[in-house]
Amino acid sequence: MNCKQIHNDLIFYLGHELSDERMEAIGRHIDTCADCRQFAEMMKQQLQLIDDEKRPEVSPYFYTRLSARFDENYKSAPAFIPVWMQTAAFTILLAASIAGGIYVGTHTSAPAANSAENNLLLMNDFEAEPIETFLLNQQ
Amino acid sequence: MDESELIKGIQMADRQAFRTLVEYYQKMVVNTCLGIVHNQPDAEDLAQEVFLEVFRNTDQFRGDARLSTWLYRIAVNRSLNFMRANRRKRFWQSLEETFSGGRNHSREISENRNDQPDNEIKDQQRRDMLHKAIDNLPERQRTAFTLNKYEDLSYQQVAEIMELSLASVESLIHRAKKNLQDQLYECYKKKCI
Repeated sequence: MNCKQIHNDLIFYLGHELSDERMEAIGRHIDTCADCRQFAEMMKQQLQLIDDEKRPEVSPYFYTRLSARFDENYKSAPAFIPVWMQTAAFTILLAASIAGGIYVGTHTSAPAANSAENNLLLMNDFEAEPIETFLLNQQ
Repeated sequence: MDESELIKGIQMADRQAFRTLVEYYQKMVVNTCLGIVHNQPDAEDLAQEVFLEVFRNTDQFRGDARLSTWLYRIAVNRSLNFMRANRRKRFWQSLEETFSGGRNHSREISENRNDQPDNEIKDQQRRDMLHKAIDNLPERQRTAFTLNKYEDLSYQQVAEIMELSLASVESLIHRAKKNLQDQLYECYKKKCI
């Protein structure tokens, strides 16, 4: 087993992700090779940093600051209307519009056939006074 | 309060339900964001945005996955977007420094480091090296690695969050570890820490 093969698998060796046989072989090599041992140690320290960084303490003011941002975001915006309320409002509006349309349609009647307004006589000026007579009269 | 009651409460604009959600999941969300952005104040800001987004979009929660799975997805997406925006910002900043002679940023670092004991500087260098190596991973490898290593999630749980098959997640994490190892070996050869 040479150093290059070791370097390819070192991160898996440190994570105990190799077969028992391979783990033993790499362990034996590291015991005898100073360079690989040094690199393994360096990798181990680097990967340990991940564990050190995990689960940091969250600021005790996290919710307070979030709450302030929440109020700021929704202060000038319209009040939060839940989805079910929006759906109900739309349905009521739609039903009211349909009912209103039906009401207007059934209660508005057509004008009576013999009402006075229908008896307008349209005057045809040309029948009353043809253009030739008009011109003759001008003279 | 179980998950469905929590969600119903938030949909009804119940602040107490929202508070319960935040207090129960805040560490998980902050930790997930921290695994990607590597900065506690930024991770907490992002976590707050995650909860605000949850509040705004509870009607989009279908209930076919767990609430924690949904929270992880939002946290990962927000964190990755933050990193992309940060990368663009750092690019323009480095251009600016190039034209200004690189004085401003470098001086700030050297002034800060002068006050620190040597072992703290070494620890910081090691952390910076690790974060840089993780940041250099392709996005999907980085996400899978972070969820598995920082949140101790099983491959199956990671697969549910990333909406991938178990085999894909195994492959991603395997490649992530190999890439990380290669980068650390480069650093070892150059004796950078």
